[in-house]
Formats: sequence, structure tokens, C-alpha cells
Amino acid sequence: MKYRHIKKWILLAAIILSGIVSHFSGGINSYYLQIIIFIGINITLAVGLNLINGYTGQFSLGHAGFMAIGAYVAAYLSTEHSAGLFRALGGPNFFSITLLFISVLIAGGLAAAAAGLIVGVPSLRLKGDYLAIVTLGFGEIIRVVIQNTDAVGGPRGYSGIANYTTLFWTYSVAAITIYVVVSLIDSTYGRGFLTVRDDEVASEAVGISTTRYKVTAFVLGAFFAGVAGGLYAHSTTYINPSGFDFQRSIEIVVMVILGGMGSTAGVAFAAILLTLLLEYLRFVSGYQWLPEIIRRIAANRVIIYSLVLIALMLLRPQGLFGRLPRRGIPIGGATKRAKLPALSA
Amino acid sequence: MTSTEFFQQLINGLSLGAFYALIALGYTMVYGVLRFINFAHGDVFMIGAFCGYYLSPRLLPHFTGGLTPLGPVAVLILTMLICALLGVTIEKLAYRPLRQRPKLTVLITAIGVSLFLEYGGQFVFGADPKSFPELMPDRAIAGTGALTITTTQLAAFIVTICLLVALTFIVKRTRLGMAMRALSNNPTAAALMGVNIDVVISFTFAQLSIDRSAYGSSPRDQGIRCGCSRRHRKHSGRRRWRNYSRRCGDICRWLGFFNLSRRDRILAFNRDFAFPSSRNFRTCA
Amino acid sequence: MPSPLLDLRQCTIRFGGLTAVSAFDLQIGADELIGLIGPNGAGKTTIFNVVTGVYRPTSGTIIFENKPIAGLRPNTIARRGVARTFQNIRLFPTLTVFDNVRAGFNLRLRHGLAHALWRMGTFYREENEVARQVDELLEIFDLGKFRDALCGSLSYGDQRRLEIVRALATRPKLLLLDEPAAGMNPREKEISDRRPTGRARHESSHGNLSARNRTGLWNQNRGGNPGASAGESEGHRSISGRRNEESVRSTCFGFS
Repeated sequence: MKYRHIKKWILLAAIILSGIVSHFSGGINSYYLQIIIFIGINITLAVGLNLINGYTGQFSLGHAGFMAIGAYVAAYLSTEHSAGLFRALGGPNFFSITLLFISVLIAGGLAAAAAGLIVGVPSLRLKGDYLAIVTLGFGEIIRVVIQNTDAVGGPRGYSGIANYTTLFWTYSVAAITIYVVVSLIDSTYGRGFLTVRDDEVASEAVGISTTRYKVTAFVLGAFFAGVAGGLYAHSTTYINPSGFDFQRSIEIVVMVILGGMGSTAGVAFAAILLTLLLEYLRFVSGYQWLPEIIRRIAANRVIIYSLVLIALMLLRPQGLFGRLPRRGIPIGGATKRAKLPALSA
Repeated sequence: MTSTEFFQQLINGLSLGAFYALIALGYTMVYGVLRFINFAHGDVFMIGAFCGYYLSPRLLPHFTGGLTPLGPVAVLILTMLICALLGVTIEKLAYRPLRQRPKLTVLITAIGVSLFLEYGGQFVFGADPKSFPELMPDRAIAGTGALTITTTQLAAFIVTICLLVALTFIVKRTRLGMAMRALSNNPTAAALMGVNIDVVISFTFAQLSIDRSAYGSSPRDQGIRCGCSRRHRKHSGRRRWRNYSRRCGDICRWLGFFNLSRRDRILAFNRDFAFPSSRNFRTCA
Repeated sequence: MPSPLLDLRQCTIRFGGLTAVSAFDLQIGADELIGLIGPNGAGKTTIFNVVTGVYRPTSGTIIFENKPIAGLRPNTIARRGVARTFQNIRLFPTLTVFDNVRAGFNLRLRHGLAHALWRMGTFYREENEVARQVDELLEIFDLGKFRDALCGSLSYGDQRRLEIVRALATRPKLLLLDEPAAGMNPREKEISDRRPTGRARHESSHGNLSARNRTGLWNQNRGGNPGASAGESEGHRSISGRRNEESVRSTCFGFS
């Protein structure tokens, strides 16, 4: 009972901490800062996808599509429609920028969530690899549509986005995502996601609406991907459609699988690990003392990805941190077994 | 659009469609039998194209004089063998250990294999487009009036039809085909295990690009994997059965597809096959 | 007799050319215990699947508490108060015993997404209440010691019992047990013999489980005549005392 609100306190602490670190981040080398921000964005993406792929047992291969929607909507709104807001609030000051950024992030998230709703509907009828193909196709559709939308630059990409993303925003969003997923799964309501993954027929038989859970998972996962997209756009200040292709989706899927489907901590850790590893490979490809072939392989990150995927599936399909047999996490005060009058046999 | 134009496009479409049909055929064979999407199919196809690319300048000079027409055939056969070997290797290393795992595991592995081949190919062959050597004189066939039908188009179409007929025959009429169909009728992934017949046939055939200066080597290959398996049995003697069926699988692999006269061995294999529907058994028995 | 809890009228299910169940009538009243027996392939499980909404009857009506339920989704029917077990056990393999039973409480949760995230007083009160009731149910069925174990590690008989507990957790008005004694060894059957006592005790707070037992001798063959419906065969052959024998293939409990 004492620790009932511990999750909320941890969330608050994480947000405050990221604010403090962000405040003193001026001294950090901007390249490192960028990587740290990418790590936060990847955590958000991977943990969000884990809700769909890991906990609900659906298989989405189009997460980059949701991210693209969020990125473009947020970037478009903050670039084209910020003038009015700034005029009303007396120019681009701290307050107006904060308000603008929050609202464009949420708008991007909502747009992606709407797309998630649309993708969630076929997931009601399709399973496994069929669903994977549908989501893959969906991700490609989004990319192609953006490529052919002149208002956001089409294939040239969209540039001139303000650099609003800071360490604070990135890690607050990541913390909120983790909080949402963890506290959702750790509730009687949220255990419904797991039952849908385990056995749909049995879930229906005990009155759990598989439809609702699947769509909810897609909508929530897409929302966080959209917000992450908004952060990404405002961090790189330039986005183009080919940055949200199949390979990007695979990257996120690898994080989820590496971390272990259905383990939030593992997935978040895998996101950190993989982002760092891939950045490190850039250095490796520059080390002159290494043999040419190793440098070339290091430069081609997808080879590494694919090998990681295959090796992982063969050797440890539950991921690095996944526990295949899941222990139940008792909730709040439920850890104590209820005292019952002794039963006579 | 004039009628000539229409028919011209129809012919172009048919010949291109014939290629796609062959690729799709391989895809659907794997999916139909093993019930999983072989993402790496297109990449095996790519490897086949590059095999043709690298083999033909080395092989063709050896075929001179009266042997000249055999050159391309040799290239094709060698390419087929290489792709078949690749298919078996992929199956052995990546897919077979996962036979009893959930479908998604296999799917993810397939994506991994596909990416590996694709980017490994880029790594080995380079990312720049290459123009494919001419295997067969590519010229318009005379006597078609205003329409242009090239020999390549015709060859592609004929080969596709032949292969389609052959495959239909194999699937519908042979014991192996029966086993494959029985397997696909029983899709529970858990039931698939251990033994499979890794008959990988890669039909590779090259098409010359219409405009030789244009990039795009377009040899077409097709990898077909026919996995054949049996239901998982829980009673005793499982190991014995597994060895036996694996041996049968090997026999099928090496003899079954190419030498249909060795049917008795395959028959022995099939007898213990769990048939989900007796109707199917009767129609093909 | 007052209007029955469940009323199947002329239920027919065809799969393609095969008539699995033909013009089946069944009335189950409150406080009734009905056994459904028949040879393999008679359609017992099909009837269960129709009542719980897995299949839609080709023709005929299904009335539950005076409302038609044919064609509703299984989870809606479960919400109305029909719970079931499966012939081949269907638990949630990656969840613990506790969580399996907790899943049964999902349909009467007052909290939802927002509460699970906001986590205020009501949420914790409800979670504690759910946990208390789950523990109580587990104790009644002697599964308390497996509380935090994965359900896959339980013995076959325990898994069957757990499935019944999960079904009871939905607080059903009608409980359908599909082959509850199938595959159990005599010892396990003996244990499950104690089950009704425990359950009756548990249910006593909600209503009495009376001993008005009926067993339908159901000889209907595929596509054959409707045969004797359960309702008509009351007293035809009373085997209520041997409820857990294998001759009783499926059991329906009607609670009031």
C-alpha cells in the first residue's frame, strides 16, 4: 500500500531528471547529444511497438509508417502554422514554443493513432504473417503517399523544420511511454492484452473483447510512434520519405525482438544497445588498421542487422532479456494472499 | 490506342507476366507447403541473376562451333544448381531449426535471410547496375506484321508454360506432389517437424534486356522448395520414426523429384503420412 | 416451469453438406444441472459452440434470459452470463494461475484504460477486490498453492479445474463444462468429485444450487432424427449420482 503510487513518482522523477540534464546539456558535444536523443526516440518507438508485437501478439512491420505520419504532421504544423500562434503569444518565446511543440507532437501522435485505427481493423481478421504483410504494405503506402505530396516536399524531403527537440522532450516522452505500457500491462484491464496474445478463443469465452484490445494496442502503439516521429523531425530538422522505409521498420522490430517480446525493460535496453552499436560501427568503418573487409561490413549496417536477427531467432528466440515463462506480477496490495477461513475438506 | 498498340502491349505484358508467374509460382510452392512467407525468395532470384552474369562470360567462350546453342543452356543449368544449393543451405541453416517454433519466429528469420542476401549481394557484387550479357540472339520474329515479338519474349513464354505444366503435373499426379498437398492441408505449424524434402529446383533463365545499354540484368530464376514433412507423433518409437523418415526425406530429396521411378521408397514414406482428409488421398492415389 | 434460463429451439447447424446438429431442443432452467451425453461426433461440443457464439446456428433460435443470443459475438454472450470450458483445455499458457483466473474478472471491471493509467483510489480498491476474490476462488478449488505458478506447469487435472475456476470467475448464470472428466485418472476424478461441494459453497452467496439434476440421453446421430432432447428425457435415465463418470460427457449448470 505504501508503494502504491511508486510508478507515478518514478515517472515524475524521470521527467524532472531529464529536465535537469537537458538544462546542463549545453556542454555536450552536439554529435553525442544527437545520439542520446536518437536513443530516446528509439526507446519510445520500440516500447510502443512492443505493446503491439510483444504484448498483444500482433505482428506489425509498418511502424516506420506511423512514425512518418507523426513526423510529417508535426513538422508541417510547426513550420507552416506557427506564425499565428507566435503572433498571439508575443513572438517565439519559451512559453509559445513549448505550447507549440507540445501541440504539434500531440497532433502528430493523434494523426498516427488514426492511422493505427485503420490498420487495427484488418488485424481483427488477419493473423501472423498475413497481418505482417498488410502492415508492411501499409507502411509502404504511407511512404509513397508522402513521396507524392508536394505540400511536404515530395521525394525532395521537407526541410527548414525548427530544432525544438531537446533531451528533456525526448526522455519525457520515453518515460511516459514506458509508464503507460508498464502500468497498462500491470492491471487487470491490461492483462487482457496478454490473454489476447495467448488464446483468442479463450479470451472471447471469458468475455474479453479481442477486437477492442487489438485496436487499442494498435492505436496506442501508433500514437507513440507518431510522437516519436515528431521528435525526430524536430531533431534532424530535415526529413525525407526514404528515411521511413521498410528498413526503419525492421530496425524497430529488431529492437523489440532483441529485447525480448513482451519485456518493456529489455526492449528499452535493446533500443539503447542497438543505437549505440550502430553508431559505433561508423567509427569501426573508419579505423584504418582494420582489414578492409571488416570495415566494409561495418559500414553496411543492414548485414549486421540481418545476422543479429537470424542468430537471435536460432539461438534465443525470446530475446536477450525476454523471459519466456512469464511470472505474474501481483498488483498493489494484492501481493498478500487473502486471509480465508479454513475450509473443511 | 490503336489495335496494333493494344496487341503489342498485350504481348509485352504476357511475356513479363510469364516471368512474374514463375517467381510467384516458387513463392506459392513454399507458402503452400510450409505455410510461411519466404521473404528470401526474391533474393535467391537476385543471386540467380548474378550467377548468370558472372558465369556466362566464363562459360560461353568454351562453346564454339556447333556447340554454341548449348552455351546458354549450360549457364542456366549451372545457375539452377547454384540456386538450388543456396536454397538448401538457407533451409538447413535458417529455417529447419525453427520448424517447430511459432510462425513469427520463422517469418522474422526469413526477413533476416532476405536482408542478408540483399545487402550481402550489394556488398559482394557492388551496388551499381550491371548490364547482362547476351545469351541468346534477341531479335524480332518475322511474320508477325506490325507487331514485334522478340525471341526472348517467346522463349520466356514457352518456358513458363512448360514449367507450369510440369509443376502442375508434379503436384497433381506424383506421390511427392500428393505429399506436398497433404502437408499443406494440415497447416498447424507444430505438426511440421524434422523431416523435409529439400527439393530445391531453381529454374533460371535469362532474358536479355531489350535495350542492351540499359541497366538491369533480367535473368529470371526461380527457387522452389518443397518441404515435405509428417505429423508430429507423440507415441513411442518417435526417434526411430524420425530417423526413418529423415532417411526417406533424403531419398526423396535426391531421387524423388528427379527419378520418379523410385516411387516405392516415397510410397513407404507416404504410407505413414497423416492425411487430414481422406478425399485427397483417394483422388491422388 | 417458469421461462427457462436457456432455451434452444430447433437448432440446426450445417457445415457445408454435413449436418452436425439437427433441430435440437434444450431447455435449462435456473438451479438445474444437466448432463449432455452422446457418442463421439453426436454434436455435444457443437452445441456448446453454438450457445457460446463460436458458431452461428444455421436455423433455430437460442434464447438466454428471454433474449435471443444467436449470432452475438462470444465475448458478448460471456458478458450476458454464459461461461464455458473447453474440451481440450485452453488456458493462457504464458500467464500465471492467478492471472488466468483474473482474466475472468475482466468483463465486469469498472476500470478501463484511463483508470489503469491514472491509478487512483478506485483503481486500487477494485484491483484489491479482484485479487481477494481470485484468491478466494483459488482456495476453494484447492489451487491456492499454485497461485504464482505458470498454468502450464500444472497437472492435467489441475488445469481442468483451473479452467473451471476461470469460467466461474466470470460469475456465470450458466456454466457449460465440455467433457470435464475427460482424460482424468481416477484419483483426479475423485478430487473433482469434491468440486460441486466447493462450488456450491461458493455459490451459496448467490443462490442455491439445487439438486434438480437431469441427464439427457442424446442419441442423435449426424443428420439423423432429433432424438430425445434433454428436456424430454428427464427421468429417462437418472445418473445424477454418477455425475463424474465418463458417461456424462458434458455438463451444464444453471445458476439462479
